[in-house]
Amino acid sequence: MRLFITILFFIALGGEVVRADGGEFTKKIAISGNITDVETGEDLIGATVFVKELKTGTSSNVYGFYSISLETGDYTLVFSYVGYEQLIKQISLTKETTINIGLKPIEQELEEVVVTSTALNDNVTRTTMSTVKMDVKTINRIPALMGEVDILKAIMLLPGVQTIAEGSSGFSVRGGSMDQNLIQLDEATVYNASHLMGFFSVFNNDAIKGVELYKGDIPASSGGRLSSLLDVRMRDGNLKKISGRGGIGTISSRLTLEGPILKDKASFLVSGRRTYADIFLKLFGEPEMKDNKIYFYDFNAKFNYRINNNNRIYVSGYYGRDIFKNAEFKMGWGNQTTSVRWNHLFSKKIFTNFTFLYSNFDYELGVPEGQNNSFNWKSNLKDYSGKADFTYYLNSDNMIRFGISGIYHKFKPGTARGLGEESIANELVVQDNQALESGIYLSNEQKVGARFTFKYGLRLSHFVNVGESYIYNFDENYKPIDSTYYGKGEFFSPYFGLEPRFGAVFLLNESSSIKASYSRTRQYVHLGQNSTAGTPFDVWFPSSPNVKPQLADQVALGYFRNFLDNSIEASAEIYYKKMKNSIDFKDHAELLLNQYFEGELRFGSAEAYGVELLANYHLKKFSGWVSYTYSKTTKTIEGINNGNPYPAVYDKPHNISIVFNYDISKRVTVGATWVYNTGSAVTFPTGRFVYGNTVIPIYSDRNGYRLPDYHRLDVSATLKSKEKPGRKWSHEWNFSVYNAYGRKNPWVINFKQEPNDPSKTYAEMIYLFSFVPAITFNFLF
Amino acid sequence: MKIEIINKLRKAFFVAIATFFLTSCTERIDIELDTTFSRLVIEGLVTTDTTSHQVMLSWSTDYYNPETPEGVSNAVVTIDDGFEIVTLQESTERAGLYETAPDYFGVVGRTYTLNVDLAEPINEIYNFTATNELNYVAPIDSITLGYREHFRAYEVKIYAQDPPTTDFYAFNIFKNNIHITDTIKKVSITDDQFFNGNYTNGAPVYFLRDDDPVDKVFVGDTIILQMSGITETYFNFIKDVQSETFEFNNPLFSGPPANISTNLSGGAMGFFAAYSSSYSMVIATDLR
Repeated sequence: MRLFITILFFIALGGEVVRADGGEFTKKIAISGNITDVETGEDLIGATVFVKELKTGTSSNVYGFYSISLETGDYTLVFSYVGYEQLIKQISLTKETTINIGLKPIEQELEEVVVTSTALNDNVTRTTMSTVKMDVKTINRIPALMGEVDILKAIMLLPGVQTIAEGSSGFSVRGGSMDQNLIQLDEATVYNASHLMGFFSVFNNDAIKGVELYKGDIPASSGGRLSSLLDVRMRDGNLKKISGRGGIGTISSRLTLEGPILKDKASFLVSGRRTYADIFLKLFGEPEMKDNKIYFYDFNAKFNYRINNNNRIYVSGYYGRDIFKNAEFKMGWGNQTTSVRWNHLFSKKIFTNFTFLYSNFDYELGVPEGQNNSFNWKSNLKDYSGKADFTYYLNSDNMIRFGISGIYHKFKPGTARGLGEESIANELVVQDNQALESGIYLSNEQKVGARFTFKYGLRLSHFVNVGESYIYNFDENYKPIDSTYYGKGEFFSPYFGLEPRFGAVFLLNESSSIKASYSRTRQYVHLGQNSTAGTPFDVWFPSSPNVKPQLADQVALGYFRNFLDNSIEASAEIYYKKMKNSIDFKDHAELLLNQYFEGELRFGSAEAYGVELLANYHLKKFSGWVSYTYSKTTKTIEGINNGNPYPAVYDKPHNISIVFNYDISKRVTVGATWVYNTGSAVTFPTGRFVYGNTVIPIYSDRNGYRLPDYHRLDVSATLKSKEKPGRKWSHEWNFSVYNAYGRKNPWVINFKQEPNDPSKTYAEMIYLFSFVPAITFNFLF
Repeated sequence: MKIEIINKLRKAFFVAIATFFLTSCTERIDIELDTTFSRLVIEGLVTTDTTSHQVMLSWSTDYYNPETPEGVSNAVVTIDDGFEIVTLQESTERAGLYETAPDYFGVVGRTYTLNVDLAEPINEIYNFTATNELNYVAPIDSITLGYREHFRAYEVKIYAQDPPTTDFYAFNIFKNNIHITDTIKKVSITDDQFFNGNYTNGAPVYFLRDDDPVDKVFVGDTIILQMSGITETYFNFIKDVQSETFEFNNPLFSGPPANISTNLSGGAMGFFAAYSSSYSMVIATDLR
């Protein structure tokens, strides 16, 4: 540890002077600054800075900050970003300089401007592979179920990402289970990203700037999940003028307000939405239907303050809640997150971010007071975490990152108690758990010559349970024998390990490259899933003496090539992933309110491999992407399927997505999405027997059958208002149809007894959506 | 109670989703299924009632086969309660049905062992056994009826003292001497995790719904509740059966399908159960 800090200090202090070996001393001078949208002041993430003379460059980080160190001299800097006009700046570099850049969005009427990606060959040159960035503009153009534009549903159209079940927010990345995705909103973990059982996600697009998905090659600065990092960033709020946007949709409405508190210095954003579909339930005569209240709402808020060029503060938060209740039953769940961040420049070359994060997920359910079975059942999970991340822009060839992080997890799996005097229920408490998860990392991104870039890093992660706690000990049949007591504040069952991350890019020419990566990831908290696709009542639980951390090794190799002056970005990647200490649940597992929960777990390994092809195109009037994935995921878990390998539910070998947008005119845009995948792996009965006058199924192999293939076409059309000089607001109508050709995709197939002749059995499918039209009205002022 | 909560939850979710989207539909679908080898199926029961006790041996069939399962004849079937071993005689009327003498009854506190020796082996196995304890059940003080507007159902409410031990219950309903819970799917079960050692004070144990022609209660109907003290293994068996035959299974709130548990050895399916029961009766009045 001390050695590590010494090295970091050495780099930090000695870095001004290159060649520590005492050879020739070359002074490098830093140019740094922020790249923003000139109209709103929003930070632009991943905007590129290119030094024409040296054919080298850098890109802005997630806070819009860039820094590049060059020798004294005259340079031409080219600043560019997708959908924005390029800005070229001539400078004469003699001393450290701050250059803040505002880029101008490309207006649609500028037809003569060829709308190329303008990110040039970023796809080819950037050191990360297995990564996809999407901005909110792209996501907004994808036709959505009931017009509710959704980041998570857009992510599922990417290669390597599989939907777990139609409508579900749960997704599998390269054969990982759904708890292996780290979903972050402004860096705070979102433990359950779904609203309304997953049909909608917690992310309100009006408050979101963009999203980046790492399917592998996860940076050393992140850890804690095996398979992916989904980094969702909220918008900062308009620094130039008060503005707003909103929409009235088929099932929900939303409104966002934003503006400067101090012009160009401080801004705010508040956003909210609520569904109102449940008012339609009143139309039903049946009390079991019409008494139901079912809705969700959420709020996002953000404040950011640029104190000066060296200091900046962001405070953001999310609060969301789902409610379902009737006379007999009530339940609710929701996430809360808070992120407080302070960007600080120790010098023009050292960018630092200090972060404090709070995440909470809770649910409750029960029977309302006044009955003898009245009760209330609550569960929650809280994280408090702190991070310090440093980026040291050593010179134009080396970018060093290092940092530390710590998370204090507090799990309250469940407390149930009777309500009111009439209730007969006792209090039932499943014991709380606490744990401390920490990480420290160091990485460097290094250019070697004109063609090679290497990225190498090491993360050391550590996890320890914190008392007070009783840990049950189980025999070989998973029956509890006794328990071990750990006192309050006592640390026990530590786990730690190294997580090497490595990536390399070899530039074949200006428009093509080969990339490779290897990463090891460790996961210390896991999800106990009560169902295939996940519900809000799933139970997060820590590693413990009975539960070893999950471990994954992934290698990937890719070929990247751009066509037609970078307006088509294509890639082909192959990956292989081996996971250890994978978790599954015994048959008919009982995960809710079970103090012997750990006895329901079964452990084993999983293996995944696949090929992903993606072509992203953004031509003058057409944009979108085409992707194809071939993949295979197999699990081998002790005690499940007799210990034989079985395909995961989300093992869907063939997967195709076609996303298409066409700007017919300045005012009219149409879009279409077509998806196809192999049906998910399911277990069907092969035999039956009769007991207690009931026909009972007998199953052979786990997931030995497949649902019929899934395919669906969604279409949309957007009609924008006419632009009139002087008009301060604009609006648009969006018409969409989900499942336009009404394909009946089975959601589930159940086997039933014939009501009139119980000796006969038949298969019945439930399909959710066929031909769902929706209208949304959006406005902007 | 936990079962009740979880099933309520699953049902409530389903109603919520169905009502929210209004578009979900069901449709019969042709699914071709593999065939599988026949397994021995045993359904056996010992209760404290003095009666001829039965053990049924049958074969499992392919899933779509609508024929009544064939009985397994010429087996030697015995029940051992630790004091004596009785041999069951195969019924002359129904192949595969083995019966004790009519004066046989189970005794609370004894452990019962079923032993079956087949005439012809299955997968080279001749011998199948199972054990189950015959547990005590508390007496029922009384039952009353209530009406739940939301479900449009009569509820059967129970007044009884739950002992301080960990107990598992099964509830059967008889209406005008007709067995309403005549399939194991309909039997109501609970553990006492939520109310261990408490007086039940009128907790609902069964709902007789108006929209079910068999269940629907009319004024003057005689309702009998049978409460049985079952073992944890039998409780889990019924729970598994009910979960596998639940009509609202779907990816959102059902886990992967799996074979149900059993206490039988040798790869046989079914269960050999033992339990004691207590009863209470009420006459329906107009509560709607």
